[in-house]
Amino acid sequence: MNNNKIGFVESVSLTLIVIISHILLNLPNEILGSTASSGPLNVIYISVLAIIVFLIFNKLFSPFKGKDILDVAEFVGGNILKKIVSIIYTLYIIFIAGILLLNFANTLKTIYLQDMPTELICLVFILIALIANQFGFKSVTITNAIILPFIIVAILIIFFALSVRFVPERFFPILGYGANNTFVLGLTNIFAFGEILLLFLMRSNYIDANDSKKIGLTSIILSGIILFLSITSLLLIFPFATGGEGILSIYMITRSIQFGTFFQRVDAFFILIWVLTFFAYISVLLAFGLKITNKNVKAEKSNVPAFLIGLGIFVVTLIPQNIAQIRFAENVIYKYSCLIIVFGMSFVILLLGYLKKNKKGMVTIRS
Amino acid sequence: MKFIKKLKEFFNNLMQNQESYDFTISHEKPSETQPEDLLKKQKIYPSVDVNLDYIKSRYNVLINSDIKLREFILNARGKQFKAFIIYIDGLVDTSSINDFILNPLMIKSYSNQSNEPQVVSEAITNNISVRKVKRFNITDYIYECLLPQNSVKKVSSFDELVQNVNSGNCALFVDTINFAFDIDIKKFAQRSISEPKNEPSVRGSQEAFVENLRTNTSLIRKNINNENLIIENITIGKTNKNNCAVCYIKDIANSSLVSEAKYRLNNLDVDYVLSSSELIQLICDDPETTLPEILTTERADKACSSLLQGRVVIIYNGSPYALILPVTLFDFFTSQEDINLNYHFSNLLKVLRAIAFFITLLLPGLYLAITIFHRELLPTELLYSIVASRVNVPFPIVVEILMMELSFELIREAGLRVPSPLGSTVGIVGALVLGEAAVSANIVSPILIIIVAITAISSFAIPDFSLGFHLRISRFAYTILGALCGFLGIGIGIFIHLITLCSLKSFGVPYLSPYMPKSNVRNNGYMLKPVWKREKRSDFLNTKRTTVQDKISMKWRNKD
Repeated sequence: MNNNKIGFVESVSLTLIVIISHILLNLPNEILGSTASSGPLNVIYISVLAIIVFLIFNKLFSPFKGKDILDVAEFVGGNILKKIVSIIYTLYIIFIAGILLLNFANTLKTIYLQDMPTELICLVFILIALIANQFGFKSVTITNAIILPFIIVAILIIFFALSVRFVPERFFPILGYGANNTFVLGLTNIFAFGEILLLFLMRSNYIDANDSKKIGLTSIILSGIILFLSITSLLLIFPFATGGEGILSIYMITRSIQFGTFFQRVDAFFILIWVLTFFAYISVLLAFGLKITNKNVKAEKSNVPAFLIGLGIFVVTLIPQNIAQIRFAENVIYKYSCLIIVFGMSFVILLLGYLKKNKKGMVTIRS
Repeated sequence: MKFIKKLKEFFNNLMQNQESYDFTISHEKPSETQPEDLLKKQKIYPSVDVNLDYIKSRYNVLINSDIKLREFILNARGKQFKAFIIYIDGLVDTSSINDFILNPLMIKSYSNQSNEPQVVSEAITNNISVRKVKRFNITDYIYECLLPQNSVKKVSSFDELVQNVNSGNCALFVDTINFAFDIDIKKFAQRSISEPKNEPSVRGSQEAFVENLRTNTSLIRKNINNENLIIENITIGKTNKNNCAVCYIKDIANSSLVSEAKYRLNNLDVDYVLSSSELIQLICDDPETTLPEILTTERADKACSSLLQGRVVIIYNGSPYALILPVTLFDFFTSQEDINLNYHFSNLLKVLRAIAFFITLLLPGLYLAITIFHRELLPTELLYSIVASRVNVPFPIVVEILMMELSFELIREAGLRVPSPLGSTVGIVGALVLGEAAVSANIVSPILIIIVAITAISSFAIPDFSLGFHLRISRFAYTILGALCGFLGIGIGIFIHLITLCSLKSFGVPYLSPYMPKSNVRNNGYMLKPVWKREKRSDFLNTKRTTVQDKISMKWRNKD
């Protein structure tokens, strides 16, 4: 049996970890910034859209049972297209890993590691991810699946612990900046579900290939719920005009939690959970980068591609010079690259693959 | 030009005249049959004198004081044969040798003197008696009539014979016979079966394994009344050939698991293995990790319950600990006491052990992380009291905690090594006097003593010794990581720890089974179910028989 085969729980965890990491950083702020009090409504809207998009993608995948998107690219355009697509996906993964890591490292530095250089913090995360990947893809997925429940519990604790301080009036006006911002411009917020790229990449790793639809839908629905809870917590605690100013918005709201008299402030415990989340996040992305590389290159030493991807992530963390550049990279470059690569390019490849497969099928039937 | 040519010639000649030495290590394999091997594969000779010389030479009889050779004349059916026996003094029952080997072989009894052929069958027809007579065969005669022993084997190779004599058998050589009789008359001084010292139980069985293999296997046989219990012997070691027994229940244990265990044991190319602990290192999946991958127990009842679950038990001769495989992390939190208690009590104890696990692993590291980096967690009053208690302490908090942890480890080690009557004294001196003095002298703060003491007490709640060691080592790592970068450091430790646990396997079984990867936890999770609900064997063991009992095991409840 292939050691890289993963089950339902592991697969769902892999996709959830990516969106949760993004939620912990700036995603809720960003959605609230563009939609204001209609953030929760927008999340429901984009979640439904994400489900529809996924179902379309799943339909396009239907002739390629047990194959991932790289196999489809190979089917469509041969080895050359497969390599081009692999390079684009790898660069995308390196980019999102690097940008989110840098953002998180800056946050850690702001919160309590003032004396530690950001580069060093990033390096620690990358090194740990490299070590984790030495244990193999399967170990990374299982570890991720163990950590995820703690993260979800943490988010639920935040929601319920803060519920006493919620101001329901902040839901209004229900359409925030207007219907246009919520439903038309807000459509671009679907990038929050960019983790479905991992669903396309790990299809060949499922223990049961028939589970792909179930895994995808569960991942998107759970992601939507977590995003909804996070945005609702943030919206109902802070007025949306000030909520966007906080670094690590979810961390900011945890500072409002009061827990008996034994702990003065419990936010530090959440730092531990966030740290674990980011270790898992970087490890998962590195594992997927490795998976893509290994599909194209047969390296003599498996450490070399991992080291190169790690180096790539580190280089990305060195590029932005200040917080504004990080924000720009996260809010603009990440958002639009996600829309183009994950939703656009993948759709074109799958559509071409679907049509080619159907055409071949017709030719076979006629002959 | 000519000069250069001459110079070249000179150096060439110089090089050629030099004797060439080859310092490279030869990678050629030594020939398959070394002289020593040839000697060992030697077959037994028909001549007793040659055999005697061979044995004398092989056993160095002239200088070996406990090797006993006894030459005598064997009487069989009026004929006399030169013979000798060899055994090791102290390993055999000498009275048995006298009464049941030498006596029947040497004493000239009436029946033994009769020269008449043995009648196999007789038929009388027309007053003519026809007798079928068995031809006299010395080998059969000795085997069937002169050796009143229950375990006698005919061995034709010196190698096998010597191995058996070394383990306490007696060998009989008789002239004209090209094999020897290997007679099992082992009897050596051994520790009697006592109560388990390191795994005490209040209500469980009080029988512990001893150093003798056969005694240990008999303890298992005694407790498991099933003919499908298989106890296979495997010899380990080239210089010191020691036996180990692989025990399993044939119709329960997974065949692949049994084969894997036997394969690993059969493929150990070592001179000797001294103990079961060494054997663990030789057969476990990942010997580099500090996490235990094989469970050891001195309790016979624990070994038996493991066998009934479908696991394999290995008993090594000379070691009072049996090895149980495969295992998962949660097996190390299980004490045999659990199944002897009401399941509510057992589960309470299990929860306590899990808490103790986290306390002993993380408490010092968390204390450092909180007091150095995350002070906002603590209420102001508590923070003041911690700061006030440390005012006169000159060391940084990390030095303070490492010093105390190190002292505690020293006390624990000293307590183990000193003679037992002094053990408690070391504890009192170490824990009370030293702790009190250290606080009075402002070397450590009182709160730190509390932290170290809670950690130490928690470490004693972990039932398995090996896991305890792993936690001790890991605790130091967490302490340093917590001191270096607070919760980020603790996070690094937890993540690396988790990924190590996830990657580890024990004889093919994932270490975090049945939770990761998830399998049937309904009956075999961490928490213990009531006896009547333990219907299935663990999924991860992939046993031949999955059901332990019917859904309704208490049939008497349905008498209506």
